[in-house]
Amino acid sequence: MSRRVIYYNAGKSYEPETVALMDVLGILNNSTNYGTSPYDLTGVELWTYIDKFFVATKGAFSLTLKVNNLSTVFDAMWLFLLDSATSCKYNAVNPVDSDAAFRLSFSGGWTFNGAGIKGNASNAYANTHWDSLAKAGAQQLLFGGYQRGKGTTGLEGTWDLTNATRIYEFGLFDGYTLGSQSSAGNANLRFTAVNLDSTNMKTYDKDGLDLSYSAPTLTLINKPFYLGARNNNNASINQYSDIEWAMRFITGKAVTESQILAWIPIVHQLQIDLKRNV
Amino acid sequence: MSKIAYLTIEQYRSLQGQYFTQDNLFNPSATADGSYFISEQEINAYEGQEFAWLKDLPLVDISNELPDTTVPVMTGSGVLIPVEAEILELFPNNTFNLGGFKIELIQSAQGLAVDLAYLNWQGFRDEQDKPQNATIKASFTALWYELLARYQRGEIISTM
Repeated sequence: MSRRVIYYNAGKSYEPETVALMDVLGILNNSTNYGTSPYDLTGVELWTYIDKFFVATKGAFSLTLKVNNLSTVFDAMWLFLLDSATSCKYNAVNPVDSDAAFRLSFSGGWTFNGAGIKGNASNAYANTHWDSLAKAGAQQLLFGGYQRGKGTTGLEGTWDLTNATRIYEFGLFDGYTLGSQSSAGNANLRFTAVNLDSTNMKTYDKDGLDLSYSAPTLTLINKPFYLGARNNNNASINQYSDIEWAMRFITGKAVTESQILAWIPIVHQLQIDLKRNV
Repeated sequence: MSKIAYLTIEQYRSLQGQYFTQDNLFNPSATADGSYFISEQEINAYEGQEFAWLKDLPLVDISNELPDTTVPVMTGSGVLIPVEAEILELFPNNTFNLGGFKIELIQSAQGLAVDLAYLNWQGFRDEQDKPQNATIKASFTALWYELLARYQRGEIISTM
């Protein structure tokens, strides 16, 4: 029985993004277990939770249900489902196996455990194929993620070392850190996001708190954003991190604060639904 | 702290651009001091035959700290370097640099010499013993034993 038959026979109309993602991952809507214990889920659960997440996300960003339109807000959103590079590489808003669709290209020593991805802080990075020059408008940027485990070292993102210009990056030193501002031990930074609009840059944690960090200088550069490492615009990678991520997202489009605040609990709930021990 | 395995330059090149799982590329890299390595995660995940030798590589803890390349305090005494052309070619501009460990020969009245402090430099010896430096170390083995013999025969000169 094919997924499509199950889809219609189930009498439930899933979001197009759900169908596309489940299809490319080969997840059947049945009782088969997927993933790695203790993070494995049945097909029914994955279809249900992911669809619930997409529906709620569309609500938070005032998008039309049953229309494939998450990509009008997000350039990329990686959910890191199942436990391999092959399953974790897909951009959930456009799950196509191509660089143009921001499919992740993993390199080096990654760990995929079904609850997220984690670099080794030595040589692991993932090329998002997203660069600000091509994708970000003037003062329009949202990026962030959901940390499942805090790291011990390193910075990741994109950086112009020669000009000492912060582009956008996550970093961890003694504890959770956003931007280059230290916030040691702040467990609320499960969800972390930087939202830059025409006048403000705000940074958010799991509880929606604006951490009020200073705004970086947004410089549009033709250098892809990396996960797990800091991509130096004028040379090569000069930092690796070991942050464990349950989700990442990035877009060069503007969103409002009210949209971010509405979306944070939705992201958090997804991680709970996926039994990721957050 | 994570674990890595050191690579020779040939091993490093052989892994470049190769996949170790369907969607994960090997990323043979270099430490800050120029030593080539591959990570424990890549070795463990690899299940093929072409690079089966990876499984035999010893794993070591990696530290982000650079080795201490501080030059030891010179003793003012040394031994002469043999003057054969092939040996002198190992020391362009009378220096030798291995991963940041820099040895400078001294032009004494009797000839080109190396201070005894360099011969007892433990950090340099550890650097030589890294697998990726095996070829370089081999090229110096004969010279090393010749210098040792001269030292043991008491052929020590002043390098002041």
